[in-house]
Parts: sequence; C-alpha cells; structure tokens
Amino acid sequence: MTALEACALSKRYHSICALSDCSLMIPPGSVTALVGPNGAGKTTLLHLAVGLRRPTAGSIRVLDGLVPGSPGALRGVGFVAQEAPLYRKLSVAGMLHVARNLNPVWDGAYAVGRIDQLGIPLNAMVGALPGGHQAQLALTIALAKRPRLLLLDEPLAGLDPLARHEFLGVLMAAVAADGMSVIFSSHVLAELERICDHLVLLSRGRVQLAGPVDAVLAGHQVLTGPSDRVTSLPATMAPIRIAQSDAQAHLLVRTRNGREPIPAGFVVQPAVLEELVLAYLSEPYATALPGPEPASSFGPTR
Amino acid sequence: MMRLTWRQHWVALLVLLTLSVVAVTALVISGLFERSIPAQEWRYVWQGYGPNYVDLAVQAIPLVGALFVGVHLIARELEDGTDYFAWTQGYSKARWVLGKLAAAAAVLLPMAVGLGLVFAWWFRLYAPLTGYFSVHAFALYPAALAGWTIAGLTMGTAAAALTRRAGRAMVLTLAGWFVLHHFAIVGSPRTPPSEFWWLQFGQLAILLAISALLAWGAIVLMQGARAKHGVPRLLRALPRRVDSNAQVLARQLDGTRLMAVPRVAWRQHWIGLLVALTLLGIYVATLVMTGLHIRAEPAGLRPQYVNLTGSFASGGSDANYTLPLLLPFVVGAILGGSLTGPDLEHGTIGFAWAQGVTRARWVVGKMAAVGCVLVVAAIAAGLVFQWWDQAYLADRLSDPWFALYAPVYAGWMAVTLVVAAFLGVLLRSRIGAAVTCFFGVLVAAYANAEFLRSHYLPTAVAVNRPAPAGSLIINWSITNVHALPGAIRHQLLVNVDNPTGWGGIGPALTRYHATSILTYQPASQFWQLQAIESAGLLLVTLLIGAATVWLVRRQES
Amino acid sequence: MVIDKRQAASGPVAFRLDHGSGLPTYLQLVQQVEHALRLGLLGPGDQLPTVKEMVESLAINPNTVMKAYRELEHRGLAAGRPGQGTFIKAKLQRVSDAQQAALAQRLAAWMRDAAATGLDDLSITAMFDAVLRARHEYQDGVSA
Repeated sequence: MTALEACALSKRYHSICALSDCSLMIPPGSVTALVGPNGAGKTTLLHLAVGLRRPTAGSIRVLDGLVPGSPGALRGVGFVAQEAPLYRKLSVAGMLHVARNLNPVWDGAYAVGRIDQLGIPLNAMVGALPGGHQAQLALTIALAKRPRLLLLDEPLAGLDPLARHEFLGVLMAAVAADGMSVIFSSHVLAELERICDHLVLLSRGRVQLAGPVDAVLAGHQVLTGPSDRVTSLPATMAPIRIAQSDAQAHLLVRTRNGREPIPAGFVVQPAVLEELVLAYLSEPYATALPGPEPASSFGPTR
Repeated sequence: MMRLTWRQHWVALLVLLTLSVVAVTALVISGLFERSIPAQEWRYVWQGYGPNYVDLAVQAIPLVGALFVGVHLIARELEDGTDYFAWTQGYSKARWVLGKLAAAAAVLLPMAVGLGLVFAWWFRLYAPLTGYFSVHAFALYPAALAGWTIAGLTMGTAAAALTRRAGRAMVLTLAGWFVLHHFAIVGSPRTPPSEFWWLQFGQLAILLAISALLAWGAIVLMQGARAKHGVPRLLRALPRRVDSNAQVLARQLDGTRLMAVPRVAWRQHWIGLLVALTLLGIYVATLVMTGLHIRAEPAGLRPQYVNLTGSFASGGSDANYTLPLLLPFVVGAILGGSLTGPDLEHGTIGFAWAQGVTRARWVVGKMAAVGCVLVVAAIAAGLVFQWWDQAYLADRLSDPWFALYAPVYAGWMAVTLVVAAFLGVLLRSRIGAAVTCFFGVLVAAYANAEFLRSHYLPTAVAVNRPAPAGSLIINWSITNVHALPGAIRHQLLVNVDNPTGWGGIGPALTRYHATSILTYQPASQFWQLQAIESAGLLLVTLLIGAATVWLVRRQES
Repeated sequence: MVIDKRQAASGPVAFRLDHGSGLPTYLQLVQQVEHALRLGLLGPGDQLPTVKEMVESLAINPNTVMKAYRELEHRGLAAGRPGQGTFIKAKLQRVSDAQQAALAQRLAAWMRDAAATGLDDLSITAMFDAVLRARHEYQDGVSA
C-alpha cells in the first residue's frame, strides 16, 4: 500500500537534469514534507506525480500503482500548483461550477460552506481576490474533490501567519477525517515539525533523505566536544556535518542503532529536525536513505 | 517608449507584417501572371479576381491590426496590472497613450501604404471593367488604407480604455469597425474617375479626424481612471453570470456526466458565443427584412443584380458582402483560439489537467461544445440565406453565394474553430492562434474557391454557345476578340450565362472569326458540389480535431 | 477583544502548545489533560475533543493527538469508545493546597543549597530540565 512510489525516476529538460535517479516510497495516511533549496526538483516531482509531465527514465506510481494522468489517478489525486492557478476571469461561484463539473466526486456542500466560513463572496472575481484568498480557494477546491492523495506546491507562500495556521488546521482535519495522504513542498521548517510525520529532502535533483520523521531523528545525534578529538571518532559514526570553532565542535552524526558508546570527551544530544535539515541541505552530497545498509555519507552519490 | 512598445507587441506586429508581405507577394505574382497574357486573346478570367476573398483579406489586415495591436497596446497593461508600474515612471498618461500609438503607427502605416500601392498597381487591370468605386476596391488604395489603419488603431485603443479588458475591447472594436465601414463614403459607379483621388484623400481626412477624436477620448479616459482592476460603471450593466443559489452548487454527483465538460466550456466562453450568435442574428435579421421587402415587389421590377441589403440603388457600402462571409472565419478564429490558448498561456492547465477528467476528454468536450453551437447557428443562417436566395436563383455557384449556403457555411465555421484550437495548443497564445488561423484559413478558403471548387465534378465546355443560366464560369477565352465591335463585346460580357440574351452573338462570332470557349460548371450540380465541399470540410475538421487531441496529450506543462 | 470561541466548543479544556520547549507535543497534551484533571476541570465520563477538532485548532499532525490519547489510555486515565470518542475514565489525585505548600517549601530549601554551592539561575534551570527529561525517558523506557 503506497500513496506514492517512485523508482529510479529521472526528468531531464534538454540539457538540465531536474531529477536523477530518485526512489521514494511514501505510505498512505502520512503527511510528507518535501524540502529542498530552490531548483532542487520539488515542483518537477510534484508535476510528475500529477501527470502534468512525463518522466524521462524510471517510473512513478500513485495510490497503489496508478499511473499519473490516468482517469483513476486524476480522480484520487488533488493538486494545488504554485501561485494557485485559477481562472482569473471567472467569479468564485463560476470557479466552483467548473471544478464541480470536471470532477466525478465533488462535495459541494463542503466547498460552499468553507468559502462562506472564510468570508469570500461568491460573486467576486477570482482575479480580484487577495492572494491569500486565492490560495484558500484553490485548497478548498482540491479538498472538495475528496482526494486520497493531496499534493501541494508551496501552498503557504503568500499567506499571513493566521491564514497559515488556519490552512494547516483545515488540512490536518481532512487528514484526520478521511485518512488522506498529503505531500507538500515548503520552505518553512518550523511548521514542518509539528505537521509532518514523513520527510523527503531533495537537493540538486537527488533524494538526500527520505523516511518517517521519528526514524530519521532517532537515527541521528549531535555530539559536542573538543575540536582536536574530532578525527578520533569511530568509523561507525559518520558525521554529516561539522560545525567547528577553535576549541569546540558540534557534529551531526548518523548512528546505526543508537547504542554505540559515546567517545570520551563528547556530550550527546538528540537531533532537532530543523538543525538536521539545514545540515543536509548544506552538504548536498550527503545521503541517508532508509534501509539496512545506509549509503556512505561523503563523496558523490551514484 | 517606442522601443518598449515594439518589444512588448513584437509578435502581433511581426505577424501583421508577414501577412502583408504574403498579400503583396500574392498580388504581385497574380498581377504579373495576368499581365503576361497577350492582349489579343482577351481572357476574361472570372475567378482571377475572386472579388470577395482577395479584398477580404487585404481589408482585414487593418482590422486585425486594430483588434490585435490597437486594443492590446493598453488592454494588456491594464489586465496584467503593469499599469501600476508604467504610470509611476517618468511620463504622463497622455504621453504614454500617444507614444504607444505612435510606435504602432510607425510600423503599420508604411505597411499599409506599401500594401495599398501594390494593390493599386494590381487593380489597374480590372478598374476599367468594374469601376474604381465598386467592389471594395476603394478602401484598399493607399490613402484610404492608411486612413483605415490609423482609425482602426485608435478605435482599438479607445475601446480598451473604455472597457479595460482585452476581450470586451476587441468586441467593441469589431462592432465599431463594421459600423464605420457601413457609413463610409465610396461614391457610385457613375462618379467620374477624375474625382477618384479627391474622394480618396477626403476619406483619409475624415478617418484621421475620427482617429484624433478617438485618441483624445482614450487619453481622457485614462487620465480619469485610477489604476485598479474593475469594470467602469458604464459597462457594469453587462450581465455577469452569478450562481447565487448555493443549493445548485451543493449537488454531490452530476446525473449526466457526459455534459460535464461541455457545461464548463459554455460557461467559460459564453461571452464569445453570445457575440457570435448576435452577429449571426443581425445577418439573419437583415436577410429576413430585405427578403420580405424584395418579395413584396412584383417580379418584373426586381433588378438582376443586387447587393445583400436588397437596396435597388447600386451605391451603398460594399462592406455588405464581406460581413456574412467574414463571420465564420472571424468567429471561428477568435473562439477557437480562446478554447486552448489562454489555458496554456496563463498556466491554468495546472488546474484544468489535474482535475477528474483526462486531457483528451477536456479538449474534445470544449471543441464539441462550442463547435456544436456555432455549427447549428451557421446552418440556421445558411437556411435563411437559401430562403432569401429563392428570389433570384441566379448565380448560385459563384462567390459569395456558394459559400453562404448552409452546408458550406457551417463547414468553414467548423474548420476554422478546430484549426484555431490546434494553433492555440501549438503556439500557446490566444491572439497568435486567432490571427494565424484567420489568415491561414482565409487563404485556404480563397485557394479552394479559386482552384479546387470548380473541379469537384467534371466540367462542361461550350464552344460559341452560352452557358446555361446559373452556371459557374471557370474559364472563358475569346480568340480574336479585338475584331469584334464594341457592342457585340458588351453583349457577350453581359450574356455569357444568359441563353435568352445571347441572340445574334453566335453568327456574329463566326462572321468575325472569333471563337468563344467557355468552361463551366452547370447549375444542376449545385447541391452535389455543396455536398462534396461540406464532406471535405467535415473530414478536415475531424482530422485536425484528432491532431489537436494528440498534441494536447503530448504537452508538458 | 476577541475571544476565540472555536476552542471553547471542544470542551472545558483549552489546549496550548509551546513548540519552543524541548517537550514533545504529545507529552504536552498529556500533561495538560492531567493538569485539567488535577484542577477538577475534567472528570470521569467527560469527553475529550475529537482528533479532528484538536488538529483543526492546533494545526498538528493527527498522529500526535492519537499518540497522546494512547498514552492517556496507557496511564489508565482515558478510554476510547469506538465510534464515539475518547472519554475520561479515572480521577487523578487532587493535590491539596497543603501538599503543594509543603513541596514548594522543600524546593525553596534546595534552591538555597544550590545557590550556596555557586550555581547561577541558568544552571539551576538547566539541571532541573535535564533531570526532568531523564525522568521521562526512564518512564518511557520502563513502559516501552
């Protein structure tokens, strides 16, 4: 049972390689954060999952083996693209009418109710709505089709903090009620920690890290100790990133089973998600794919 | 400012220039060909000057310039919101409007004058036959064409300033263009040729005055306007579809899923469809009024040759022919382009192709929904025309009448729509698709009328005999024509397809050792020809529709 | 002043999360329920807010709420009824005012000793947090 499964997925535009050799498995009912620097391939991955683009190599399947773009996938997958593309010349009611007709399953009562609750007038022109309302409208439409998998491309950009909180609240309520899987790309790390239970890190078109948040955090530790002892670490503790000053160093290390003895002179602390994500993003060649044999952390990947 | 305007609108300007170059080339080639025929053999090639397509195309160039350059000079900025930027830079709104107009005129005026000069040279062969003032030619001479170009530009700009939206401005400009054309002074065949250039420059002066007025109006509107999105109070009365009944929206599943995508298409394109139906409606209403009027006259008083308004005077604007003929091409091109172009241009396919219907179903549903409405309307208009034509039943096979009958009329409408939809996906632009489609299909229609139509079925040849009444004359050559006295020549010309008036022409021909060889299509084959052409058009529609679906499926966002 | 009525609809307890503290979210929820029990705001038979209501107002992952409710069940404080929700099962010992005063006195004495040995406020707080965390980890280890 998978919400999304990618196998050696690659996408190339002329000379640019947007994604290379990505393999992912996202379980159903999870809330996954897709994190990465600009140009890492997050939008490309989401577009491939919806069927707006086709892979150059490898395969991607959604909702237990459906091909993106097929009628079954279109029915079960909801998508909100970046900057919420909507028909700006239509009214809100017109937009809902269009969405209602283009989807086999449509919860109109929910859509209208939520639009009402947000205070968006039904006969306003979509193009005249403020950016936050447009994003909310796009999300409402995506939710009203009752998808089993919802893909969001930077949905929080352009929302004020209150709107962000409310947006995420509605999203989580839908996850709780229907068991919907959510994958969303975002830059805001602070909110990720309380929303997501799954994490995918993309950097330069490759998957650096993918797995449940708990497992990822359990698999990393922060060691703090004197700088001159850095090289004396055992081989099993491969550091991802070293933040070093003259006397003191912090190392983010990956542990295999979490029970290795702590080297002398070091203090161990559990890893924090934000710190971990930043460390990986600043070391583009570090990877930690889940599995019995984690890949080596330094040096270029395959 | 000039350079900026050129950079912003280079696509439309380039397309127009290309079209002018194509028109000029076609005119030059055809003119040289006509002039290469030796003078002794007077070959009156009826189809050589297909009266309604050639000048349709040439006359349409300033119209297209008005619609796609004049309107968008201002409308695009108002729609995109870049007026917020433009109006906070270093220059006043008046200068902004005038600068843009000047930049566009700097390109379009030389083009129009050049086109006009080439047309004047080309037309010199026909002027003695048809007169300088008849059959549309007047508006195509350099002075008048330049005047129409400027007038069109300023009309588009004024419309955009009034409505602040490209679509509505284009509709308004189109309406204004035809109204202005209707009242254009063109003189009558009785006006002596010496007054020709007087009237030319007179028309130019009038048009320039109108342009100045429109430009001033545009500036006034812009200066009074605040930079905001919205419809000025004037046009707020236009109906906007409001679904205030929330219960309607709250239905869970649609009973008839088949009509789901068509419903969406009708909702999205209702304005375009309404305009198309209104234009067709005006045409039909004119037909009905004049048809009833003509039928009220006793048979003997009905003139042999009358223009579409049924007025018995031979003056009046010649735009009356072009209106109904242009309609399928204009309507099909604009509506077809807006089926697929805007979605790909603005990125809303990110929404449309991620809903619950496949891409193929989406595009087929849209084309079918809009196409069905247009085809039904076109068939209705064609049937009314058939009723109107019953009063004459003459000359059915030649233009424009052949193309106005229901099957062929609807066929060209469908073809234009589908071609524009295809180009919308290919070019990812609504305007580019509409313009390219309009001229492309017009050229194809002209080529079809000129070369193909006469050969659908085998032709008949009459030597020293007239063609039966109502035939389509394809080719007529008379050897030794200069030996014939003027009176006989005139009689020949008038009675080429009139057996009763042929009279003593036959013996006269043998006496002067002249031979008349007439190739024609008999009128009895009219409906067969209609059927063949509409079947061909249907096939083309289906093929291009399939190509559009294939292209849509191949698209990457 | 606007009073957020949405939280009030889900029962007598208004939850508040501190994402900056080192404590996992689910434990914060558990603690706040226990605190409410101690104060007498919640009693046996009262229904806890549904998972949906909780995540909507707090914007957290539903799994976190479910983890908190499971922990409460494990501690014997709550029980889930299928199709109906999670209900409080037991009472918690109320800490009387006299007991609270006695504990506060002992804490003040300890603090005096700590300050006497030279620890500053920050170190005292750090020591307190570390011991508290170790206590929870021990409890988790025992119950896991």
